[in-house]
Amino acid sequence: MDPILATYEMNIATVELTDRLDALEAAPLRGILDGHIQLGKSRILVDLSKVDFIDSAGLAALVKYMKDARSMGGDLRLVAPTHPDALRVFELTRFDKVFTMYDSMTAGLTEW
Amino acid sequence: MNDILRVTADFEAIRAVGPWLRSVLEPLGPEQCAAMAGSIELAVHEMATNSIDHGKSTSIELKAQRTNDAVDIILTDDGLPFEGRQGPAPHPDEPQVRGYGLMIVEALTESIDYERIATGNRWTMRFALESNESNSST
Repeated sequence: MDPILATYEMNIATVELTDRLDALEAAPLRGILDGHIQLGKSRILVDLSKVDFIDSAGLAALVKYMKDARSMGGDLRLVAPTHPDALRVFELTRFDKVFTMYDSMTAGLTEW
Repeated sequence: MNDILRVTADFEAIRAVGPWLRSVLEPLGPEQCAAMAGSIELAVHEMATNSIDHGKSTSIELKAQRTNDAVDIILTDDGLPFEGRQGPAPHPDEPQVRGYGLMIVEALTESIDYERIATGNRWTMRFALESNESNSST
């Protein structure tokens, strides 16, 4: 399965990730997110519900584009990880309080 | 428990850390292994990533050692010396993009010791066992 699937709907760019978001996967993710930002799409929803491991390199990519999106008047929001090993990095850095997180992609698209 | 993993210092190779850790933690029993494996993997993965990113290492060796009440993971590399935390310590109210690796390791370990050795760097990370009562096989 392609670990990154990006689509655009309801004026929100969506990115679905699977498996791991580590230093190896952060590079292609940055490419996808950079593409959205360059096109002026500053409302981005990243689905982490199927990700089972996230490290600080993956977190850093999300933080960078969250800051970029907010500086453009938008935001980068998350569908929360369900796996504890993926959620841990957010809790340890307290970024679970910084990102707006939803329980599902549907919730993110309808409640934004 | 006394096991060693040697990998080339690249981001793909260090993905072997997780499966290796679960194999060396398995003798502690399924509950202890499940409780500790994810946290230890994250900490070791962060240190290995730092070794690649900042230390410019070409190889990394991991060694696991069990003590009475803890698991030590010793990471040895052939990289540049560690010269202290670079940049400001992260603060959650002022999100920054870099600098979370060591903060995460410090949060997950009971202790972390650094030593510059002739061939590179040695980091010893100590993880307290969750509970001796749940240790079913030692």
